[in-house]
Amino acid sequence: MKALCWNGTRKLNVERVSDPSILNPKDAIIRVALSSVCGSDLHLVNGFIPTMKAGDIIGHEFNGEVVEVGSEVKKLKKGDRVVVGSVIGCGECYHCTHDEWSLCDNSNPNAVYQEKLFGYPTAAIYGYSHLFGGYAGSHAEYIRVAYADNGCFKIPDGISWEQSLFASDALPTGYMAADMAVKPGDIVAVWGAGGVGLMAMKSAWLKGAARVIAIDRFDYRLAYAKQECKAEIINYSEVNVLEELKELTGGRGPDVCIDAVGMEARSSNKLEYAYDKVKQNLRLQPDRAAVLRQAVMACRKGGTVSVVGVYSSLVDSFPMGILMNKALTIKSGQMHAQKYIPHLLDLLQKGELDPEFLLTHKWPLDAGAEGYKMFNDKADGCMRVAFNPSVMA
Amino acid sequence: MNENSSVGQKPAVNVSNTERILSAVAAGYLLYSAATGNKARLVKAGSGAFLLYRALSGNCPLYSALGKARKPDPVKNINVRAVVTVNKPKDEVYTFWRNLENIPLFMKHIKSVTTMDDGRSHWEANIPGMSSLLSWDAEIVKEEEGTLLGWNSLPGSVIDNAGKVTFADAGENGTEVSIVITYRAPFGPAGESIARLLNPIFKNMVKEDLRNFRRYFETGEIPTIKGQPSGREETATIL
Ligand SMILES: NC(=O)c1ccc[n+]([C@@H]2O[C@H](COP(=O)([O-])OP(=O)(O)OC[C@H]3O[C@@H](n4cnc5c(N)ncnc54)[C@H](O)[C@@H]3O)[C@@H](O)[C@H]2O)c1
Ligand SMILES: [Zn+2]
Ligand SMILES: [Zn+2]
Repeated sequence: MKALCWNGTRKLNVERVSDPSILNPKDAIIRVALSSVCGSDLHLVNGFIPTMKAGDIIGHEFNGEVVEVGSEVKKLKKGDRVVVGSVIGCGECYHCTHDEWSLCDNSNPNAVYQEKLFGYPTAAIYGYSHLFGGYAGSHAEYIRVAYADNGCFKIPDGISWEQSLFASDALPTGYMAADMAVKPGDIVAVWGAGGVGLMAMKSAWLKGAARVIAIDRFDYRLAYAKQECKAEIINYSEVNVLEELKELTGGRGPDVCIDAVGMEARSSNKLEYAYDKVKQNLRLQPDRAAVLRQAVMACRKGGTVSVVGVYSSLVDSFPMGILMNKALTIKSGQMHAQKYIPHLLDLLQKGELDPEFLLTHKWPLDAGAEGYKMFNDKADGCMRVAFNPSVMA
Repeated sequence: MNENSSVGQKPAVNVSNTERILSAVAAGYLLYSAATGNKARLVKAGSGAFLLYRALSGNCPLYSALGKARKPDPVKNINVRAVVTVNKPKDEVYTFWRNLENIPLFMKHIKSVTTMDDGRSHWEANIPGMSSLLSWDAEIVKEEEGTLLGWNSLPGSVIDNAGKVTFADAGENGTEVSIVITYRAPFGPAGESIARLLNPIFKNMVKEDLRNFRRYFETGEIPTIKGQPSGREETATIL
């Protein structure tokens, strides 16, 4: 089959590799309908996540059709149209049975390495480095899905591939960002108007937010925030974000600050940005924390900072003193796909949510490398580009 | 093996049989972990090769260098401990372990366990880096239903070992399974380095075996990515 492989920093190639096969009794093979890029992939493509190996197939936000099931798969059959959560959960361990799927005890075959770095290993993620299990990703004609009964969700009748695609990753991540933190009546500020940030804005309303404020620097993204997500907008390259947020909130600050940017944040402060970027490039610090610092500063006293933007290890100059003295709460995590997807598909079917506007580009897999370049450069009005490795009805 | 004399150009044997096997086991693990991509690759591959030489030849250059002509005398124990919490009730966990023949389902280097009518069991292990199977007999020497299992290898075993597994209720977390294994191997002063090398290797092996026990017992399978496609396949081609 054809697959998009990572062959080094900013080096992606479409390759012909063998088809996946069932390796464990709970596996299923999915013929991929749509497979999207995600901000998390940029961290891999740009070389900030360790333990990638040349030849790894990337991609983790996808849907498709079941073509084969293992002997212990009970709920799925050939021909089912499914959307698959990007995070792999066994469904049986303490964390999965407590709906903390991204903390699964069992799914990561490389737990031993991750345990050394994190203290305790977390769940595996498709196409997301060997530290996170080394599972082959979805930018391919076929993918093997582990613990398929738990990871695959049938797409309700009448819901298209395009509509259901982002229920795999961007939507549950944004939803979790709000679900972890937002109480009715809260003012919610969201850093990053990418797929994840925009979904967090929509979800904040669902959780009863009184107001939603979006922060980014790309006008076209802020336009989606305003039109699709009914958010007030701040362009951080034009104004002082902290002053603006204070102004907009009667001098109190947002009750909830959501970081939907992560470790490759830019800073509007040129010195801070240069400092972070140089240190990151020299590998003196893996992660740039401009958004995290700003969110802690901006947050209302006693408020909550909700972090779904990805960090890989250490950040520099984290304002612990501010966090502590202002009595802030931090909520965070890779998203618990399996906890949220059924509810989100339900909302999709009822028409209460429609993430399809994120799909600004649908391209053949052969254009994988160009797709990532466009997405990375935020060119051509790109929110997300999805590849369609096997054209399906 | 009691070859105290050298044959032809072969170096004299100054390492006991048990130690030779231990060396081989350790060598296997070192070479194996080096081959499967560990950090201290070179150091490990070096020690692995050294131990393998020692195992195959029965001659320890270290002993020779230290002027030690014969095998060391004092007996040293290597203790390995590991613990895991499994999301299942204690009685189920105990019953599963009590049937020793289940053990190869999750301990990847144990090839088979055959229980005999007299309560004894025969174990066969497949050690990476070693061509032949390692086998020994053991018996359960202590049993507290639902709580504890203790075993001892029988006299004549290539590796003297004893150990116990205990099962403790951990409330809504399930059951805590703790294992302590003691290997009795004759280690002299020069053997200390081997003990130091062996301990973390066995410890990691036992920890991984317990992790695999949890994976297997909770989900019925052990996660793997072996055999999945990648651009690293020999036949992969860039399009
Ligand atoms: N927790 C999870 O499970 C999970 C899942 C998916 C994605 N993510 C993470 O979420 C983050 C966003 O993903 P995405 O797909 O939306 O990415 P994206 O690249 O489409 O969007 C990121 C946005 O952040 C903006 N940004 C950069 N610096 C900023 C700053 N200082 N202030 C405000 N905005 C800034 C960029 O302009 C861009 O629009 C990434 O870190 C990704 O890894 C996490
Ligand atoms: Zn993602
Ligand atoms: Zn699990």
